[in-house]
Amino acid sequence: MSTPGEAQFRTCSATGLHVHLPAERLIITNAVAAVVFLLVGGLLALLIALTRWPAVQLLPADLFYRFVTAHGMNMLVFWIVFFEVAGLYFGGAVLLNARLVKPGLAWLAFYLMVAGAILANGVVFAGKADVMFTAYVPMKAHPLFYLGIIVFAVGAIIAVSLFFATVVVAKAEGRHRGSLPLVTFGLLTAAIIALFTLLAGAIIFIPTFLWSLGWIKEFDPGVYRILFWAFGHPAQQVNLAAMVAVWYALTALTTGAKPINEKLSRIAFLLYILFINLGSMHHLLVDPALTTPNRIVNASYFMYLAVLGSMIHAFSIPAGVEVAQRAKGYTRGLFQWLRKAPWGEPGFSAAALSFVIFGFLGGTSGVIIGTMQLNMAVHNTLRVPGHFHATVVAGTTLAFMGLTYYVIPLVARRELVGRPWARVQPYIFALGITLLVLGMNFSGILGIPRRTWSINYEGAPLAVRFPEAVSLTLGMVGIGGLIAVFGLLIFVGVAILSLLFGKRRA
Amino acid sequence: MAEMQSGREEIHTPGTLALVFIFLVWFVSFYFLAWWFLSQLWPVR
Amino acid sequence: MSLTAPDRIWWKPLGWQERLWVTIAFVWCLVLFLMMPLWGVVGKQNNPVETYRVAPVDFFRIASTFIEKHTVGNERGVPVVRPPAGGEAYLIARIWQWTPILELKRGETYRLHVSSIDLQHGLSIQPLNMNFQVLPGYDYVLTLTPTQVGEYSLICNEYCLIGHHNMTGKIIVKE
Repeated sequence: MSTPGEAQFRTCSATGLHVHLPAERLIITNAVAAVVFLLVGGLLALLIALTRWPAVQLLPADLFYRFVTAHGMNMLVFWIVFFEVAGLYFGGAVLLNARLVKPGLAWLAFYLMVAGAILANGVVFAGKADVMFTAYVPMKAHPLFYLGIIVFAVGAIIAVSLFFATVVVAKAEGRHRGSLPLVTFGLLTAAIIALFTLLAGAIIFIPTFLWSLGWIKEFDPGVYRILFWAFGHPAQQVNLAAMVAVWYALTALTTGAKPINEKLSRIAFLLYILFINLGSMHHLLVDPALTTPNRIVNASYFMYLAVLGSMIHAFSIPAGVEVAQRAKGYTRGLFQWLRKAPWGEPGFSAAALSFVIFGFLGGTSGVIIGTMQLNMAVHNTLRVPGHFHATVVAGTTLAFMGLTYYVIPLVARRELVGRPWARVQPYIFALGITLLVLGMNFSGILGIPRRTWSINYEGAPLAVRFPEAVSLTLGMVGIGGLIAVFGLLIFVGVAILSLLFGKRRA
Repeated sequence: MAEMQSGREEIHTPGTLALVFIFLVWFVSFYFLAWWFLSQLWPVR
Repeated sequence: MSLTAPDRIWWKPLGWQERLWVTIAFVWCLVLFLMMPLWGVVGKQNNPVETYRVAPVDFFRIASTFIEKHTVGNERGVPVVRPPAGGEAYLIARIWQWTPILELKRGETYRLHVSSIDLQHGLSIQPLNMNFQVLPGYDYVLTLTPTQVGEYSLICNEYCLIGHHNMTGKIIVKE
């Protein structure tokens, strides 16, 4: 049986997988792009954290608001989506011993994403879009801001579609038989949600673009919010599904963990697809006009069935590790298996820390602040960024960092440069983010608003005084941010130096 | 043996069970604490 | 393992530990869900729903009439207004000031109409920490009962351009 492009594969000496060379190039290219935007977002994070720390108050107000806009965009969209595209090509092609369908289109997708990201960044840094990534109508940005995001989204839609095609073709060409590996299945979940997300993004950004040009006269702000969050919230669930898939991958790679019950894990992923979109209501709980039954059904992701999915993974992932570790002989007491886990392996420590922080701080806080009535005490306070830095940064980003330490030797075939730094990096990053998150949560409980340059209100006719404790809690934000960015820079350094100078592997 | 008859491979993960219960206690505690805080606010509807 | 194809038959029954956890998790999810309608019945703090469409210029006119009718003072250029006890009150969000200062009576229930005449704003009452989204074109009615005497600050917590961090207001609650 001769299949097209046979000459374009190599066999991985470590895993025996047939790696499609065009796919390999695209995985590395998208991952590098991801890390570049992570670096930009990280430097912005440093400046922002040092501004919210009242003792430093680094940036002037206009730059603060500009950089928060840029930081949100570069981190939440560009870093994460470029990395996820790399992950999709890995899960769809490499793990299935398959060829990536139409690599030419994948390159088109890449260039569209780069073009959109550069355009959007250009407009923001030029001061023409100081509107936060949410760009709430009737606040208006320059049309090129919306256009940049649309172009990026078109590229991402192409990439996601190629992933689906690759999986279908892998089966059709007999390169993969049987059910998909769980990691690929998890990524498939993420891709399905991503497709919905990107289409919803088109539905909101295209009319807003036309409105910014003056072609549409009126844009109801309430309608904008509902449509925006129909895009914005599922976007986060893409990150959740991808992160969980990465946890399965990393625990398998570092401890030999196997899924304890494939059926259970797959059903848990399925729950994400079915119910995750309803969570958009979390952003609209204290909006005018929406009714209570609507809020209750949606805010609960329809009876919290999507949360049930997460709680299932919360058991399955450590259980897989425990079974693997016990089989190695670590059977003493309740936790010897955990103490003897490979905490020195950056892939394991990243996955474990990401799992714990996401679980205890991110997921729980999300359910709590997303509860209809409880949201009244939370909306637009610093508790909101406190929540999502625990999920998307300590959770998804840290897990992706852990995976990178394997992608570099296995896909890019370079030894890691600075292994001792890689080993300690997840701990530094986790410490920084935890401090940041705790600081944000305590500040928000004391009433500190999000997206606000200064809390001294010295320019206001009517004074506002927050409790003294906020200088401590906001100090935690500043110091946590410093430590986290240090951890981020170590990661970027190891990644880039390894790709450029790491010893080549067979 | 009973396990073989049912085709069920019983996994043995007491450590994980302990961890998820600790998590549940944390979750439940903070959740209800949040409701208590809410009850201290002005009545509103 | 998770990186390779599973066994051909992977639809296997759950062990007792998995079944136990899934059951507990499911019950907890039901509790999470039921708390919301339950609090709607027994709790005193519930998300306001009453809303009317209103053009910003009309809301401004109605609110200004209310302000003129019930002004009792002025603080730093902002009118201090005493709405009728248990009646309608109005609060305007505009860049970058909450207007007017409201003087309320403890224990009375007010129907507070909030709207914006320009951008989206976030009504945040401190140190209570009660927060609501305020949109132009929507008259959002918060049926509110102050329970403690004192002075409360209003800040804006929805980014509304460069003066956002200076947008403040006040609610005074008297006996």
